Amino acid sequence: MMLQKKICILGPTGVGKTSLVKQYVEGIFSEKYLTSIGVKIDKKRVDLSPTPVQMMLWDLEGIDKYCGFNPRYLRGAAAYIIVADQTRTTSLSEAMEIHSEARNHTDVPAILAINKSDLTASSTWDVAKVDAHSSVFHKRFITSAKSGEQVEDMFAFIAKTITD
Amino acid sequence: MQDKSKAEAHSEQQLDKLRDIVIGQKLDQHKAEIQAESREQLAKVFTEALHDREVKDGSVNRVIQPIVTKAVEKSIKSQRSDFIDYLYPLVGSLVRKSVSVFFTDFIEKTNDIIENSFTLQGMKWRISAWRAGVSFSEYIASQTFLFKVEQVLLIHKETGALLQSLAANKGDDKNADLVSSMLIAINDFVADSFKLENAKHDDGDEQSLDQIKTDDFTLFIRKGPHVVLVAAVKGNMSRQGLEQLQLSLEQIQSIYLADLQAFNGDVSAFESATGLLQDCLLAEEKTDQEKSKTPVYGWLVLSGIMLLLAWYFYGWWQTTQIVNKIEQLNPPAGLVIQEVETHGRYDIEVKVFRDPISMSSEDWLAQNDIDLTLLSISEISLISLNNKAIKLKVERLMQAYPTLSFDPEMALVRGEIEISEFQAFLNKLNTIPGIEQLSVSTASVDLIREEIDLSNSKEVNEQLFIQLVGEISSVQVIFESGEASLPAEQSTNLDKVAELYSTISLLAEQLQRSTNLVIVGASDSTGEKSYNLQLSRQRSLAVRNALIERGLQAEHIFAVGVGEIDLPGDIKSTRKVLFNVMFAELND
Repeated sequence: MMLQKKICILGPTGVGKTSLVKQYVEGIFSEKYLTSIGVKIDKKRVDLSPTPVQMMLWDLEGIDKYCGFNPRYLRGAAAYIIVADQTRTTSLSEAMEIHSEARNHTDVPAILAINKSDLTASSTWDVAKVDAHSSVFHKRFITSAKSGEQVEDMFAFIAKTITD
Repeated sequence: MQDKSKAEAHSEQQLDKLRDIVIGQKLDQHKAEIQAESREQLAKVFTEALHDREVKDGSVNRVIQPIVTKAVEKSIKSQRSDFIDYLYPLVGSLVRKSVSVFFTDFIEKTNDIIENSFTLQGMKWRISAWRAGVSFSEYIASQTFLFKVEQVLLIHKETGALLQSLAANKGDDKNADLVSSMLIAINDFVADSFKLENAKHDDGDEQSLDQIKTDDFTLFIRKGPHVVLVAAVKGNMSRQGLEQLQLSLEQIQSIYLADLQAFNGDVSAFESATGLLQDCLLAEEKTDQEKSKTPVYGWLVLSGIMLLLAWYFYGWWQTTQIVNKIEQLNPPAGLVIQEVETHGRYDIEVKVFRDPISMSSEDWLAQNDIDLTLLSISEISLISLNNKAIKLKVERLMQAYPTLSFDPEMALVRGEIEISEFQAFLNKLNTIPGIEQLSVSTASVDLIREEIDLSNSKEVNEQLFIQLVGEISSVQVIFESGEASLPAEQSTNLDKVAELYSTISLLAEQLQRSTNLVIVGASDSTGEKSYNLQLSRQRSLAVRNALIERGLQAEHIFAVGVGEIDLPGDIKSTRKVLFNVMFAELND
């Protein structure tokens, strides 16, 4: 038996969502799946005991104030990840907006990924604020798509969470 | 305590009475109604209920299987002959069907390969497929089928999870899970992008894709409340095909309703849906396609193979026939077949013993209509003692003596010949191995006395004299055992001796010599010595008398007997009379 679970990755433009997924799935699936419809889909099998799980990773196109996201993409998701960029302070508030919009459509576990940990955080990056926002998430990870830091841990955590 | 139990019993009795009053007479009626209703209700959900329970804990299979096994066992035991009767025609037709399917499949596949590879149309298709950048098999399918469902995907509507997939060609569904998700994503995209202004946000008013068309494929998308059934079709799907798609979707939706409602990502419950998906893998061949009903090329290949086999076995049969024929042939004199060996088809080795006198093995076999190109002949030389071979050798010798003829039946030599030539003939005749078996008679040969041209030259006469003296010494008269009378066939020899000695006498006169002929009789060692001495004298005297009868002067002929000569070997060789000319110069 194997479970199939849908995971959505959301976040403002340029925070490194696609790079996170690419880092995780080791680039097996090329850019040909990045379509103009606003979502790129990859898959990753995680051999959890006793039931392995195949995660279908729906990488949603960057969201900004001019362009929202298609809430239908969230349907049936077992969890979603909101990605913010610590080198760009505004990305956190944008991420929070996206999260509250997503919450209108689903109440599955939400994970906060603060990406680009390999770079120095913006001078205006407020850790206390981040900690405050993190409380509305199931869990927070400080990730680096470049070095791979916490990427594997994050997806492993999600896999475990959605199968428990 | 007792009081309490008495009170309980009493109240129970009271309740029974009350039941009797309220529903007493209608109880049976109620029971019957409930039973009928239950039956109706159960019939409605029986199949689904069985499925649900089987999916839930697999118990239906576990419970039913032993019952069915026992029922079958019992039936077979009690109705053995009936089962044999049922199965007997089935087994026969199964075997026939299997063989027929094999041949049909073989013929059709071969036909397809040839038709699609070597024919003009096949070449054209190959080029078109290359130009279109699709595989040849895909192109054939597009040309041959009105439509063909290449793949069916069963997708969970909400999550896009692939529940089950089935492809016409194995291996075509490698990335079916990604494709499923993408299809749902595309559908969501369409629903979002083209939503109607006044549409509500429920599924009922959503715009959705029913069909996606590409150059090669059409994806037919049929949606149920929980599942989406997608068929990837090449060509134009028929109405029946679409109906089947809808029917399968409804069946799946109905049977797996509980699993779909409780779907948590576990797709194992849908493994058994392949049967229903299989119904959707439809294909319809083009009717206007000039695809002959009879697989001509397949039949041609099969006929070719059959012909080759027939040719091969005919070759073996022919080889065997040739071997049998050679073995039954009666070989000519001097030729013996040792062995006829088959090394392969049309590869026969004939081993023969052959006397050089016999006709060649090749000629003999050719005379008997044997194709020499199929044979290799190995000969071993032999000297044949077969009477026919000996007669052949005599006949060949006769060719050098045209005045003589040979009757092989009687073993008789006839004709006339000069004495000296006759002597040479006899010498050659006696060298033929086994000649004594034939007992060739030369009694009918007329000897011609040679005209001796006595020359005046002393040297020539001297030479001739020596030659004739030598020649007379070479003549022998052979007697039968214990016989002193001259055998009839020795008459020729006596004629020759008389002729030779007459000539010697004439030459002696010329050379002024005196001559005498000494006749030496001998016998073999059979019997008494004294008798043998007597016999040898009688033999030489018989010869002397015969020569006197032939005109020789008695005073120059001397007969002596030397008795037995004990030679090893053939005793016949000493039963003879020898001649010797003794001469002296007159002037000495």
